Amino acid sequence: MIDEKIILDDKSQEEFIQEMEKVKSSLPERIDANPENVEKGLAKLVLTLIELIRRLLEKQAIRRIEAGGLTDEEIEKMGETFMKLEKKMGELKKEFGLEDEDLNLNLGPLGDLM
Amino acid sequence: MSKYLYGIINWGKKIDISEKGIGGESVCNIPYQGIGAIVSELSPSQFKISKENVFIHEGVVEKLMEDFAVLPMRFGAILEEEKQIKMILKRYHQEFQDNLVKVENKVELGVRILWDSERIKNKIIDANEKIKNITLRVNKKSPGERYLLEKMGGELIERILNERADTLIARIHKRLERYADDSRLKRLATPKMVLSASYLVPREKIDQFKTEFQEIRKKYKKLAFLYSGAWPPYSFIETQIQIADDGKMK
Repeated sequence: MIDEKIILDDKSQEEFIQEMEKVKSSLPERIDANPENVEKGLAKLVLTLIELIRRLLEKQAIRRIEAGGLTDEEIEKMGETFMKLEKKMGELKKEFGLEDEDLNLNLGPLGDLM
Repeated sequence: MSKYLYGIINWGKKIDISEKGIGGESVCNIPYQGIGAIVSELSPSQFKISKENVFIHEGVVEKLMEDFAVLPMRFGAILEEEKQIKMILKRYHQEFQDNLVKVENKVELGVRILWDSERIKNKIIDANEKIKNITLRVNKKSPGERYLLEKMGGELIERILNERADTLIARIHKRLERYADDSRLKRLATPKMVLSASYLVPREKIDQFKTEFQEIRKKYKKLAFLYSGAWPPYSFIETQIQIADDGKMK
């Protein structure tokens, strides 16, 4: 047997378990396709893309605020829209039983999308 | 009969291996020009994604590592026919050989480090004028403005956090990589997990690596450390295998 060992402070054990469970498994999902799974798989993909676009738009808005040239009203309006978007995303995630960590794509050697 | 594939070894002849595979089946070597594919027979009902099977898979791979260089397959690599295996061995022969040389007598060691992300974030906020200004502005604003300003602050904090993580990782990695031939690093897999790393370490340097790890652990008292190993070199295989028609193998 290979010399197998774990070196870890007992007090950190719980914390490590918690964090490692958050890290998505890099194993590709091998699930048999059935109607329920297909729906969830599609929802996951679509919501991931929406989430990506939402974040990009938000970042763009922040850049514009930093650059100046936006009135308080314009900022307020954009902010309200993004707030609503974020809230809606939360509802959709809940509806499909998806967590934040689920909405990501692993691009192999390029790492994760988000 | 399907074949369950455990890994590729640097041995082109029959082998005798006492370790049993998935479903209690015998494990054997399918050779091709100096290398071989380690497989066992598999009937569809025998394969389940279960903890038990993962351990069996790992057991076979680790047993092989005692005597051979092994390119471990990911759990669940199943092929329909033996001729597909021969095809893979032929097609990827050179890559397999190169990878086998790369991992021979080496193991994978894992290092993970947690930091107190909340405490560090607060330190950053306290120390950074720009962020403090944003925080002040935020209170005066209406909800939409507040939302975006908070996001802006968050972004800034994240940027600085990433820089701090990079600095810390660079210092620690510099010490560990001395004993490794290769490494894979990931910064901030989660906000708390500042580093998740795999190191490809020659067997004869394992002790030195461990010692260095312990010294680093002693130095950075505010961080939490996890060392694990030795593992088969799962993270260091470069080859991606694909089968066109079946699609079951990756």
